[in-house]
Amino acid sequence: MAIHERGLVEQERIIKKDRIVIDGVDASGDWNLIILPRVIDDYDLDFAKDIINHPQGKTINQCYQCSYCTASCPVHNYWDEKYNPRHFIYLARLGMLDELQKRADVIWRCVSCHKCTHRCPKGVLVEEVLKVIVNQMSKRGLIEEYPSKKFDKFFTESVIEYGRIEDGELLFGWMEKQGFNVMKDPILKKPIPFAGGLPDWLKSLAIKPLKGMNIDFLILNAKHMLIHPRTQNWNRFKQVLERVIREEGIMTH
Amino acid sequence: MAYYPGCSLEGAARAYDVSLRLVAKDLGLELDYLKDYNCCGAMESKNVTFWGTILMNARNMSLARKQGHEVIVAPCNGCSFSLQRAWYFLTTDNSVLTKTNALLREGGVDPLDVIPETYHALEWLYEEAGPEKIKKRPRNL
Repeated sequence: MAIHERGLVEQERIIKKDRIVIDGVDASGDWNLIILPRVIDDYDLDFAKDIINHPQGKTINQCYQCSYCTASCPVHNYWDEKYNPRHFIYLARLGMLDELQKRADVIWRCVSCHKCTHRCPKGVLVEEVLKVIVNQMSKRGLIEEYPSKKFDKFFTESVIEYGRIEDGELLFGWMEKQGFNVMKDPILKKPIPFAGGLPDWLKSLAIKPLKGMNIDFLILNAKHMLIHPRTQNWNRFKQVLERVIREEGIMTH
Repeated sequence: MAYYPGCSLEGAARAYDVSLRLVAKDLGLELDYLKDYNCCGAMESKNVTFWGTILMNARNMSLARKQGHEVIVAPCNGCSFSLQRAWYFLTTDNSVLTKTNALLREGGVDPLDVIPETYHALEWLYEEAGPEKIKKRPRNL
């Protein structure tokens, strides 16, 4: 086990003594640590099967646990050591759902930088595999709706509704969903960008570039905020899309 | 060459759209605007729906085919990623292609005969115009 992964073993199972003498031989030093064995009997192999049968997770069995993904992962290295892609793949293949569940607070933190996928020597699509693990977990109710999923859902709903997204609506709609007081005009019920109870950093973020902006650009964006850009002939396709997403059942869980 | 600007280049990143069109015109390259496209799903939709994202991108590919193109150019990083990702799954996994084509037909869009490849705009400029030609263009402004 790599030194940086020692945190994967529970503290209770590690016995460490400064000085140890066995049968009169001094065994202190490098050999002073022992990890107690454990018995695992509550594994679920169907979990791994579901992942392999999904187009996104087909490459999971090519993994030979070299931990290149973990070594390149910015979330592991700069956020939390508990986020360990190699370990998630290991647990998913063995079907150790309780261990996965213990990591439910970090397992969704992938930022999709694709360094793992890019560097994997065995061609595992690590990012896709991790996403499919989280999705299967939420499908089985092993993980509650995690923060990043809330925005993903909000974004996708906007795409399904109009076919296209609009930055202003997305930003202010999201701020409103987060509990900020977004002021709206009384007639069209559209948000007024620089009024209301929005945080100051957001207001200044929006006002700063305005000073150097060209007027056509301002008019264009204002127009888009008033009339949401849409895809024509979207309705029939939208129904199919909605059905597919409902059948897939990740958005609703 | 089907030009897929994506939602953001028609809104917040308008400057990118304008400058790319000018550069392409200056280099003598043609950009055929993809009519009636839909959002690619960016980096968000793929986290909550696999089939939905593939389907959204397949619709754009189908529109490109309808306009007679086998190559799509996307200047947005999110869009080119999404389209390339869809291309990967549609070309490597036959079951994905079969299901997607059936769903496209159901949604009133032509199924895919050829799966168009996607290039990022910079990749495309490099391939089509080449660094030598581009080197000659910059002027003192």
